[in-house]
Amino acid sequence: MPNNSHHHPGATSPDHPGTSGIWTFVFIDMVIFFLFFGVYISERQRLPDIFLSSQHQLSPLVGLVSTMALLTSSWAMAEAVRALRENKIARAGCALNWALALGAVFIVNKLFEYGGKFGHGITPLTNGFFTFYFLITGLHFLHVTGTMIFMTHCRVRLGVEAGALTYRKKLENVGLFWHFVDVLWLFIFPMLYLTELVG
Amino acid sequence: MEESTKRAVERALAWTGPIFVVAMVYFWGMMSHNIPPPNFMAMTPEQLIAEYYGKYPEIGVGMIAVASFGMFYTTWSCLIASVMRDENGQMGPLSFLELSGGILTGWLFAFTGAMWAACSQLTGTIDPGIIKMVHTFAWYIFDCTYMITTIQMFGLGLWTVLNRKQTIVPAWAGWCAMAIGTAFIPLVLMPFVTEGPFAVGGTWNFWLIFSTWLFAFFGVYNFYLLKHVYRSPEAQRQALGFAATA
Repeated sequence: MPNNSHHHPGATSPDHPGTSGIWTFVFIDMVIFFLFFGVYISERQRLPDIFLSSQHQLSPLVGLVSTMALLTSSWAMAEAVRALRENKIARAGCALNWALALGAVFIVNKLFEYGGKFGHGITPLTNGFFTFYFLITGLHFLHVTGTMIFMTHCRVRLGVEAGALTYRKKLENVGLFWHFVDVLWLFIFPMLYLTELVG
Repeated sequence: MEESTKRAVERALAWTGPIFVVAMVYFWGMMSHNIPPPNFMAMTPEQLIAEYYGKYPEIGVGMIAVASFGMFYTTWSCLIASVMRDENGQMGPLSFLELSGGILTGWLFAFTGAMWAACSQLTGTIDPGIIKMVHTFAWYIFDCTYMITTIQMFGLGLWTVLNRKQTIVPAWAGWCAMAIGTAFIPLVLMPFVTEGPFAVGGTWNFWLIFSTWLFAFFGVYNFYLLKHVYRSPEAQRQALGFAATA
């Protein structure tokens, strides 16, 4: 099997964004998270009372703020990629700024949420639900911060490298991963924050 | 060293991988009754003796075998490191990450195997509390030093993905290696839980971790490494990304 094709047909095409490597990484990352989700669901069925009572202590509103921040950041990132394809460098820069700012909203919101939990004496060792809560959201948080580091790099290098094909592929790859991080949260939010509302 | 001798050494080292797997499954898993391991965090010392060490005296023999065969992981890792050359034929930092992780992981099996063998052999002659202490200590070392193997898997995975000229191992295997290395992180919870998926014999920290490590990492790299060492020298050079010689 060839190792990361040297040519990337349509790497800047809307129909085939990104390179094969990032798609492989996203797929495998998705499998790991889905395994976590599966084990979570299994434990929820084993300990329904603990999970339901613990979910009372999460704020769906806080989760909703995180969701909206990520969704709009993802939209801004898509705008940045589209603008770059159209050689609208200033617009791409502006969109990247918004993507980063909204990502920062997610991070700050999450840190306040964690701080609130620790302040109430809730830790990953409190019970099974909170073990999963901190593990799943913590891993997701690491994905968010890691991707934002790459997004920052892209924003910094935009002025210098915008015309290069390698930069465009890089931005597409980062954008793809940011959308993946967003999609992950769309599973995490209802699973952790909302299922209590429907019992 | 003659070329044919070099090839023979490489092939012998490559086969220490499958031997390691078979030996661990048999001696560590079956003979030492670790499929799954006893949930010692939820047991009193007397329960650990009654339900494990006292009940299965063959654990001592099994664990001494683990201490011996465990080092085959190191020999296999040494071969992998020697294969992980960059485009200039040099061993870089990723090779050394893989090598150091492989050496220490082999040491883990040897060291913890010896400790568990001691627990088995001393059962009935010393205080059960001391047996449990040593047993627990060995498991903390075995599980909570996961980063040793994670470092190896990242070194190997990054080389697989970033060295675009090599065709020994496909890129997806490198991504898998890094993903599985990351999935080890919940092992940090093992000392603190007495039930559930993150307990020592839990769904995640035992079944998922060990099976993915075995089948999606070690088995995969074993396969491609064995394929590689049976290639001709010229084919090996080309698989590493070097131009064909005239």
